[in-house]
Amino acid sequence: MLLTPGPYNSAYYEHSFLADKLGVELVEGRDLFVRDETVFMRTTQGPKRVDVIYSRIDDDFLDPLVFRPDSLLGVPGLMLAYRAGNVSLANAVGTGVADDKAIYSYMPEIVRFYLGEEPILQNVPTWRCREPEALAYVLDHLEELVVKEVNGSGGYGMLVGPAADAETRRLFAEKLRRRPDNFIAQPTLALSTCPTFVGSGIAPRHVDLRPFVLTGADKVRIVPGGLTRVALTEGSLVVNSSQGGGTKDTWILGE
Amino acid sequence: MTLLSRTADNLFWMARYMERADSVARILDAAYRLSSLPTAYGGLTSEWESALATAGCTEAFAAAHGKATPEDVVHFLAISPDNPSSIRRCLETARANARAERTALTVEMWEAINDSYLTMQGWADRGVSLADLPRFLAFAKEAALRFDGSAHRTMLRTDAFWFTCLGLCIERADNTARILDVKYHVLLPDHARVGGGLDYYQWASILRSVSALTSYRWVYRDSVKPWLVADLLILKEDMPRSLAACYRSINGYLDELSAAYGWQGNSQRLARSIHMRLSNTSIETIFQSGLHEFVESFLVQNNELGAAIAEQYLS
Repeated sequence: MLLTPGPYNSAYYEHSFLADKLGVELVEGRDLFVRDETVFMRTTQGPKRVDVIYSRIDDDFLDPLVFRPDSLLGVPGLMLAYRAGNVSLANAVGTGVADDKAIYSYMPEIVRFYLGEEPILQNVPTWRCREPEALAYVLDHLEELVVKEVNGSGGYGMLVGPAADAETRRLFAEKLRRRPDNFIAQPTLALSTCPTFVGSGIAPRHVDLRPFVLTGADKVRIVPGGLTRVALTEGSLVVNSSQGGGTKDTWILGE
Repeated sequence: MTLLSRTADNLFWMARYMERADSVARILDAAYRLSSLPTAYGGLTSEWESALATAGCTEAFAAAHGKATPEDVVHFLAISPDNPSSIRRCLETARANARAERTALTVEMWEAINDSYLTMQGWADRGVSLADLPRFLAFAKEAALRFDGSAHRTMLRTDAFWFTCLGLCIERADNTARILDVKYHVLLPDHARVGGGLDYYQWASILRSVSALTSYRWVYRDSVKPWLVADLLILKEDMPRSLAACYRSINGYLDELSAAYGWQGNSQRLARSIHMRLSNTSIETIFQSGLHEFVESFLVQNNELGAAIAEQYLS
């Protein structure tokens, strides 16, 4: 089943869409409970055992007995059942580390180490601000860089240098100096635009494409399609749905 | 596929709130018609208070507004954001319940509910004046028709459908009983002897508030008589808003559930006993032992059935 934070989450539509297409239940934390280190869901026919959970809840909120005690989204005792081997979690707890933006900067080295090959796709140049030289460069070039929190997501807590005014940049520079290890920086990319229907008619808005790659036992497949996200605010480069970004149809015209 | 208790609960309440929106619209419609009669008939200004009582909103209204003026009552029952039973809040709550269960709904159902919600936002922004009221009420009643129609025409006949229908029928029975509860005095035989034009309009108004003015003539082929109005609303199984018809449906849906799940419980027993009580009585018996008492005890039992269903399936 798919575990969602619920209808107030900005990605809820995606969760319900996925559950619908997969033919699995879309559950919230309160639909589940743990008894004898086993997870059950509350159904109209009584408790039903749960074997696999595809979790779309942040680890911090997954089990109030282990992580944040104030979480109302999670399932008390879930980690107990997980450790007892009575339930599978996808994604497993802790895999969020792969989302850390500083990890991305090591991708070329990771490719070389594990595959002994040169990466085919080049990385966007990325400065790790915890390195003093990188920090100095970033502070000097704030007006042309995008600075992001390493554990950030959803387009929050970031600075788009060229779009920010001097005061915003000054305040951000202070944050950077206080906790440089918390940030990475990249050049501002010129995102493509796409004609978009807005209140006053058709206008250009920035888009990005998120491709999907499936890794199986035998090979790696790139799905012919992807998620095109669009920043609906004029001039904005933030395409995240949690900040009002939308999606567009993705057309694959040939190999 | 397994049905989550939460999903069943949301579907049940989605249907209840859509039905309640329709009921409040009918109550307002009846009050509006009665209040438009010439004042020579007398006493009709109390219609707005009686509308509040039927909708179960007397105390909440008094706390918010004090004296019941037509404008304030219309605002309170139609679009007040502070009254949980206003048509607006009913549609909003129904839509919140539906939105949480998109995967359990058909596209047609979702669009029916969501369109009504969006149209409602426009009304809420503009406000509803007395002159707008008929148009607004037509919209609210159509919202319920469209919801009902989309559910019946598109939903798979499984437990999700039965819980939706159960919510609708329990709410409907509650509403019909409330109309009787507030208006029982104009249906009592003593009152009939007093007679007069006002009574005719009162009885016709009760029939109209359950869409039964035409049905009445088909069933009884008689002028409007108060005990027959009570008979139609309580005991006639072929009248879709009667208590007996609601309970025939409720029994049917609960039987479908027990057949599908292979077990039954308190809800089935309770519903059968309520239906039995409605089947084994006559309107004369009800009047002899007290119409008011009968309706009051029905309202309690209907609530108990709602609680039993929640206990057995929805939690």
